Amino acid sequence: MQNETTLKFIDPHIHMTSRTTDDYEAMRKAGIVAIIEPAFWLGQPRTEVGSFKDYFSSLVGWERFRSKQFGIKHYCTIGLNSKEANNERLAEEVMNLLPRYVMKEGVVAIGEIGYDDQTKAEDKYFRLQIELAKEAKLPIMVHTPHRDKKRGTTRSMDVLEEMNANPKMCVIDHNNEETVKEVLDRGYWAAFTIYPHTKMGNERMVEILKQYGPERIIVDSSADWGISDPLAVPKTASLMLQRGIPLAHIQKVCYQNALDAYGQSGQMNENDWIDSKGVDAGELYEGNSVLRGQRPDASENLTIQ
Amino acid sequence: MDKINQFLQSILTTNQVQPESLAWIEEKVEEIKRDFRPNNFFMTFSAASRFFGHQSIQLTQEQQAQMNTFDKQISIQRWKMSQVARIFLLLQIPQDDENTFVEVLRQLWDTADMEEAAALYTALPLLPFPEAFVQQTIEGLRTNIVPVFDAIALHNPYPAQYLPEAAWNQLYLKAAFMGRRIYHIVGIEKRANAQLASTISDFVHERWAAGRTVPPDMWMATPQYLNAPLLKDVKKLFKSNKAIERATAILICQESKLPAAKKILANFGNSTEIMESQETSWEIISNNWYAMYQTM
Ligand SMILES: [Zn+2]
Repeated sequence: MQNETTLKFIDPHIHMTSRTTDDYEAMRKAGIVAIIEPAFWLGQPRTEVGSFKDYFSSLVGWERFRSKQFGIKHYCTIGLNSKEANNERLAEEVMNLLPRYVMKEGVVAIGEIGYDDQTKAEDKYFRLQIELAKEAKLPIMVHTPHRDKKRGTTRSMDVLEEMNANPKMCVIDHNNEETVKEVLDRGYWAAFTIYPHTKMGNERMVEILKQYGPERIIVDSSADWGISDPLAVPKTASLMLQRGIPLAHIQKVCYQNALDAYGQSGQMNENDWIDSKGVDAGELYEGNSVLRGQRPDASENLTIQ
Repeated sequence: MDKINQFLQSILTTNQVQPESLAWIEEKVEEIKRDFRPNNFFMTFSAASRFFGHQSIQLTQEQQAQMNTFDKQISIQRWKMSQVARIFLLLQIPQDDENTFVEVLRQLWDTADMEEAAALYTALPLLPFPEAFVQQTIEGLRTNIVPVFDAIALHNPYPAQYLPEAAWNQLYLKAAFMGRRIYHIVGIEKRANAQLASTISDFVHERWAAGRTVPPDMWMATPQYLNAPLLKDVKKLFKSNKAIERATAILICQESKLPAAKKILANFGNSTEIMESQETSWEIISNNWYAMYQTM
């Protein structure tokens, strides 16, 4: 049984390409041992397939190496994001490129895929990529739209089921109070992105846990190039502790569930960061759990987007 | 090439690999022979690490003996299982057309992850059409990913054999900057040159100015090219209070064919140290230094 001083975290959705080494250092200190970096939109639309190729290569190459320098094990997901699926000429070329990456080491899912504006093109490439995930026997990370979220989330699951994807292999991300019940009822993993700024958000996550329990619930930061917090997972864990959530539940939603969901890829294993003696390899690099040294300030503002 | 093929295959079987892994690679080899398709091969090359892990290989006594019949500078004993498997697969690609072969390799490099890139560079001394990969190797040396750099620069005879002088010098210097063991670069004696020797002197001066020590194997490329500043450096080493630096100075002078070096040796060499250094070598000095100053 883990206690407060040995809590380890996985952040299963974070875009490190957009983050600094200070972030890596702080994450490591806070007890984050492994991360998943989903392929996504870089803010500036890409105009050439080569930009995608180099981006995917950096996810399985340079960023993986960079992360290792800080004692954090880096995994990624590969996919065509929903925004750029709307550039159909480019989307076709990216689809041809994806098979080159899906079998690579440390690729734990196809993602993040799904809907943004819920256009026809988005629908087409969502379906094609579900097919690809099934062929590659990989889990799927589904990005749910920020606008028209409830309907978009339901539609994502409808399409997954229509395509015979196994809900146990699918993580529906960016949930909120309005979507969580249906996602859990239909048998999917439900991930929550904790964003900074309103105090309520972090508290909302605690409330959701109290209501639904820890089964199939995953907490992530989705930190990227926008205002976001790479320590969202450990900070939320800390608040959960203060609010009396059992340690075993925190361990599930901030570590084990992500490992169970994405571990189905066969590409993510606890042995990757814990050696045979049970020592977390990253500890050799420095520090350990945030909850040991500097406790994260749980009152800091975090919110579910 | 058939011999090395069989050898790699025998390593896969003697290393207690899962029967499914062996069946998988046999099936892939058949597939490649029957109908080679680049797109399938890219997936196979990536998937290899699912069947063959990154643990180091063990050679049987028989295999060790067999190693001696190959180019001794190819350090197969240092390869990982995944590398043996991937390089074995690379050698199955049809080699009858240079353009096709080179293009497939180029595409593999283009989308390689870290372990794949390391395997590709490790394979260099065994690939057909070696001249075709010079530019790729020069490009590869620009990496800051240590395992990829090491795959090119250390225990690999390809760079010394094929890189132009400027690129080879770059490799040497960058290895020093990255804190890699110079002693593990293959072919230093053969590729040493005046330009490199004088750059080494500049490098050393910078380090000394910063109050830092210089690994003794850094000097390996200098003995035949001791210009005036380097001779001054050697004298400085002789006066060092560190025995290992004095031993380095003795070794440089002993290896040098230059009269100036012999003269310094006669003037500076403490007789007992010279006696002891009869048994010394770059290997011993390098090992001692790394044991003292670094945990590598
Ligand atoms: Zn994202």
